[in-house]
Amino acid sequence: MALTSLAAINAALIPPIMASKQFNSNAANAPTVIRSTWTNAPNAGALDTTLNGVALSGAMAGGLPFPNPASGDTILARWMATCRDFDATGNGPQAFTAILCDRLWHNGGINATIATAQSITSPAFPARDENDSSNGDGVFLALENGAAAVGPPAGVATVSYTNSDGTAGRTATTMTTLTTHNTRAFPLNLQSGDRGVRSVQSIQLPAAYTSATLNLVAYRPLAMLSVITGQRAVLDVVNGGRVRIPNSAVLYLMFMTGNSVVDGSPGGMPSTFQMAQG
Amino acid sequence: MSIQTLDDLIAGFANQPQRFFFKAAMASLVAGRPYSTWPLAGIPGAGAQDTNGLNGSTLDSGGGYIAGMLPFSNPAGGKKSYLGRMGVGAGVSGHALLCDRLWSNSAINITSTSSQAITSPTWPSRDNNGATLGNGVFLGVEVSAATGAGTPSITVGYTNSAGTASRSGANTVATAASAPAGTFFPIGLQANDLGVRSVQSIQLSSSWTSGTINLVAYRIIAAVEMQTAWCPALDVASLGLPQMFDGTVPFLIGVPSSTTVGPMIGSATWAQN
Repeated sequence: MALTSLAAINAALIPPIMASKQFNSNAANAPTVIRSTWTNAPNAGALDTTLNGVALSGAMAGGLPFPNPASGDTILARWMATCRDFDATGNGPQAFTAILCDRLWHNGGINATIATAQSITSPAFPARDENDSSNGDGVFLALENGAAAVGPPAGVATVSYTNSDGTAGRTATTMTTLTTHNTRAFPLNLQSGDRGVRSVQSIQLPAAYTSATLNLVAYRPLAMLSVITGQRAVLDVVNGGRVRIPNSAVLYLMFMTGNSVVDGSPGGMPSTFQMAQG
Repeated sequence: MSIQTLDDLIAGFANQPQRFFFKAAMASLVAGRPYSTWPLAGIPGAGAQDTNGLNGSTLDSGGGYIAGMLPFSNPAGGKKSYLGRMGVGAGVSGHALLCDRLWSNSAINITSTSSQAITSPTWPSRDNNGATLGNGVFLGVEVSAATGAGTPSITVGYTNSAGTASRSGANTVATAASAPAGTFFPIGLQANDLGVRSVQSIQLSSSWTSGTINLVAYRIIAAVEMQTAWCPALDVASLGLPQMFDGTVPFLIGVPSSTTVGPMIGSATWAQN
């Protein structure tokens, strides 16, 4: 393993990758509300429309660009981020936490107007769990609003899954109330004893929405970076814990904000990612 | 081996993913009253409670993953483990404690005011010195099913880390009626004591009417600030590179500064070298 010293990492740096993603803010952005940037400009990602969904690998719209190494690993050597002002409504930069994730699978086509179980046969996840396998260690689920939802029901969404040990019939539920807000992501918990998700078998809503575009996502969080109001933050190989980026990862950001701004006002997080490969 | 240089640290982070956690909100909070995430749903999933009765059971992750813990595996021979980085955010500010769960029990009669005898087993070798003596090992009463009416005082009889028996500690935070699952009442130490080696009894001053409580022995690995909206991460320099011994069962305790409920979210990274 080459990249285990400062000198080795410095020698293996590749040109920095500039990226900036909008994220939506609204009056529901209480602390720990999480938003996905997958469908946000620039380089907006597409949403799948099938219940079984698709496994995701390599360069694609929505994913932050990075090249696979010729050999060895990719290490996140440095991630610098700041928060630019919101739009002309005059709301200033806010504190937030960005979560860099690898998006392994997502689906669509969830019928938001029924409350019965909808069967899913997810394909094998890419071999990008914590152990570079498709077992799902450290892979979690979230339900995303692909568009503003209308008439979200009270209660939680329930997903049946197979855990990373291969045990089927496991149950996960959304951990917060379902809301209307576009790009909001609702993390699902794990059943007691589980360390991750290997595959998905069904989703069941608590009751019908009036209308909604819902997408279930399998993701693995890789790194978290918190930005203090109006300042920039840096995650490096020491304070970040030498984050390894798996080959063909589909990198995207989720945000946790604490401000309340009129719905639709886009914030933005210009970021610079510098990686080392070898 | 151990971590002595920056390069040792970087090498120690190899194959150590950030351990992400997202724990469900408590039903209610009281400023300054701790809460344990062990019984709460989320990532990781809710932990299981002991079923071995008053004498309880020790916990050791060396035998495999234990429900409720942040994933941790013993390093290969000769290597040591440390907390290299940690950041926590929540619906409420305050501070968060990363703890090692050494022991817990069950079957405490929550309506009895009699002294209930406990013969705890030898602790795992995970006190502050990596020994079984209990230096830096504390006790707390964890609510796993909401309590009923009543505000008892809790007294625990224990042997301290120096081996002196018949020591006595009481809850340092006032109990409350209808304390929700996850509420955590630390038990204080008798003057001059540095930790708990074993437990001999627990006694409530009055009935708590209903619910389930468990006595827990734990060691605090690190204390970090907990903010809303952002998760200020402390690195190895700020944390002081606290050691995590083989078999560690990591879990989180929050100490809120207000009553605003919300999930606890963050990540921690181990370094092994």
